[in-house]
Amino acid sequence: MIDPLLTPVAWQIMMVAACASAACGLLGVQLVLRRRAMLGDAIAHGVLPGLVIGFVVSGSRDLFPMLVGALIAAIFVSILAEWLREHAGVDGGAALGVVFTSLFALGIILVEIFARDVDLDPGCVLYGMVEYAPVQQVEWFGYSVPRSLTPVLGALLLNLAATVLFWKEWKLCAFDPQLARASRLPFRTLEQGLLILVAITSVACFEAVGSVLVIAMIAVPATIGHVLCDRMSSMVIVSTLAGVVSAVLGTVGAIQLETGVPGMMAVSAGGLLVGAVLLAPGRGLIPAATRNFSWTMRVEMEDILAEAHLQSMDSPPDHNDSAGAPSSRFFRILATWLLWTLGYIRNGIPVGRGERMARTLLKKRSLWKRFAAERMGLASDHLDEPAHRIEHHLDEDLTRRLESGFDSEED
Amino acid sequence: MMISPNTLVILLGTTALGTCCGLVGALMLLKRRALLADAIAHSTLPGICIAFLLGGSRSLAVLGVGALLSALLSATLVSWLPRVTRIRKDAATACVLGIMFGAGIALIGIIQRSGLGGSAAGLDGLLLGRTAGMLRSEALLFGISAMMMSLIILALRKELLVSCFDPRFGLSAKIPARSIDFLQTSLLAATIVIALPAVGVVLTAALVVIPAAAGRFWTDRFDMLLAISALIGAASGLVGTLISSLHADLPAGPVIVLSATTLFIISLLLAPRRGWISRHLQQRSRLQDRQIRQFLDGILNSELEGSSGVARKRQPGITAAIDRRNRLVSSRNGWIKTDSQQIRLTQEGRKRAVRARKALQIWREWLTSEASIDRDLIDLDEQDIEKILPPDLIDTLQRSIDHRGTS
Repeated sequence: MIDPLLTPVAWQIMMVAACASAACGLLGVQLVLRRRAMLGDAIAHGVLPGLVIGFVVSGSRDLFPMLVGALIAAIFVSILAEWLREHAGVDGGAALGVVFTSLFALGIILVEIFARDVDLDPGCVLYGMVEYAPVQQVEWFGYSVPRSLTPVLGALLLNLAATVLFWKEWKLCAFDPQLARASRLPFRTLEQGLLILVAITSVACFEAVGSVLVIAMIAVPATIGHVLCDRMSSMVIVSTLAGVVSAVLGTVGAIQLETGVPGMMAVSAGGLLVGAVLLAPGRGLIPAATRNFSWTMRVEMEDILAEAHLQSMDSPPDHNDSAGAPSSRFFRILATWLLWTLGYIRNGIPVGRGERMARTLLKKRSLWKRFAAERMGLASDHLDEPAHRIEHHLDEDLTRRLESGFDSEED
Repeated sequence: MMISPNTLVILLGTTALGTCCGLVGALMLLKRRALLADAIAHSTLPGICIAFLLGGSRSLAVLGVGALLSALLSATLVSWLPRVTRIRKDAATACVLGIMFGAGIALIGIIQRSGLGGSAAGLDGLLLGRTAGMLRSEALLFGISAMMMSLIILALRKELLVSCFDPRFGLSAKIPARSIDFLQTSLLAATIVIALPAVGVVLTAALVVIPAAAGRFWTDRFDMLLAISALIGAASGLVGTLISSLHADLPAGPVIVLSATTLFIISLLLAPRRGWISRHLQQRSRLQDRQIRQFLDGILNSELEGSSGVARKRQPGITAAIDRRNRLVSSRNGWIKTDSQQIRLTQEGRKRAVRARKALQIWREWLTSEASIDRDLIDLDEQDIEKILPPDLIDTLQRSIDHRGTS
């Protein structure tokens, strides 16, 4: 299983893919923060006519003119969509949709008209050829590296430089565009510069890794960063890392399953995203559900213990079941079972730690009732219900303060 | 020109398809979910591949069920992720699109390498579509389902209207917002699955987005938007198929989309009120009105100061062309009289200038007294001011101006 990882060919594929996804991930952060994550998809499709025109004008399969054409088309997509949104009052998403799908249709027709006799395969540019990266090699300082590493690495360095250089400005533009405009920043220039960078990066990556990858790698790693982080700095780092990790996983997965690397990279990035959504510390779905569950259980257990304690003292239960937080039968049964297993309750009487818990809760309840009656002036028939809710939320510190407050009053 | 019966069926099929896409697209545009169509279209790919691997056949029914299931899954994910996590709508759309499409491409790779037969051609065809090779039965199937879905939308017009514009009101009026929402998403998914074999993954999104965006230029009303969007969709389906049946080398899908784009551009330029040209003209005529108003005001000023007219020289701060146009328009309307040296206001022109000046005064008064609004808004025309302010308020303000004038 480790074997294919070690072949130099796989290493080279992985290197190119990792650089490409890191480059896309860096810009993806900016786009996700600006709610423009769909731009990657739009550009990936919209460049097609540019590629074809570049090919037709130069008359050769030389890459450079095709890339220039693609770059112009990409810039055209972003700027035209922006114009439609701002000056023609079209909804942002729809504007983008209109522009890139139209351009894509135009591109297909151009392919049909011009390139059917000639050997131009738009699919080759659009759907990724990272597996063939090691075929063409160039010399760098005595090392032989894949030729397609050059544009990808260039894009990565460019984006890295731009991210560091415009850190403060981009941050302001992303989080508070109004302030950015008001504080005499060249807001428009900065945003258009970002769009142009996205275009350059996409085009540089198409040739190396294909557009499927660009679509996924602009959106997914940055979204992973967004789910996990609260600061732009950590978001940038996490997104870049997520991009690199999915490149590694994707390459290995593709070799294992004998399929394309870009597709597998998108899938592994998706796996990482699912993991982040489920497990993100604090706000992931599983931590949140666990927190809710354990809280519910605590409330249930405390309620049961307190009730049992009161009954064992032969004092009448001071609330009927409708008071307090509404609880489901399931949690009640589960809590009862748990109490019994833990040995907190025996023969319907709280013992040991269970008894202490019941006493503490009852103390909190009476403290809060007294507080509510004396300090807040609540009517006596309004004391029970809020007390049953709040008793679970009073921590030690607050309990002590309530106590000492009453004590000092009595002095 | 001969249209064979086969072409006719295909023609009807694509027209119905266009209608259906236009209707669904209008709903999506109003919910600001236009790009959801793109995401759904891309994410049908893994469903199709899995259906192919499991079902082992290329029959449209099997692949269609797979496509529909994965379309519904991704639509649900796109609407569910922003609710339970901090991921926003656009990022959710882009992520689902990228991941599902990537998975589809990877599955295609697996299918091709595992040598399951001529699958490559069939599945690749889904990326770009193939109307030309559409079978008569297929076209019939698409046409009928598209018509049925259009009928559903028309029947539920009222509920959809409420869910697009005021879901809260819908809740209070006992319209089940959730199920309507789900119905919309399912309609979108079904439409896309139907359109997929004809126009392909990418262009399906175009058929949904473009007619609605074009229709939005023409109207502000829900019913009209539905109608116009459906019409544009139908027209592009019809025209596109016709053109591509005349030129055998042009694939129908892109031609249909480009017809829709052409209609979009026409709408963008020519639509009354919201169109680019009419907006431009409106701006120009406002500017001219304002310049003439200032011109007349200048003459009025000097006449009030006692001179019997203004010398025929240009007012400061105005180019010669504008000055010439001001004079031309004013004299054509009979507002000024020009003799060899002087320009004088006629009865009519004087009335107009006084009215403008008064309205402006009233506006200023209202802004400073009644509304504490920015003084920049003062620059309005007299017609607007008289329209905005109720007449009795105008009287009150006039009185307060007069009062200040006398005291």
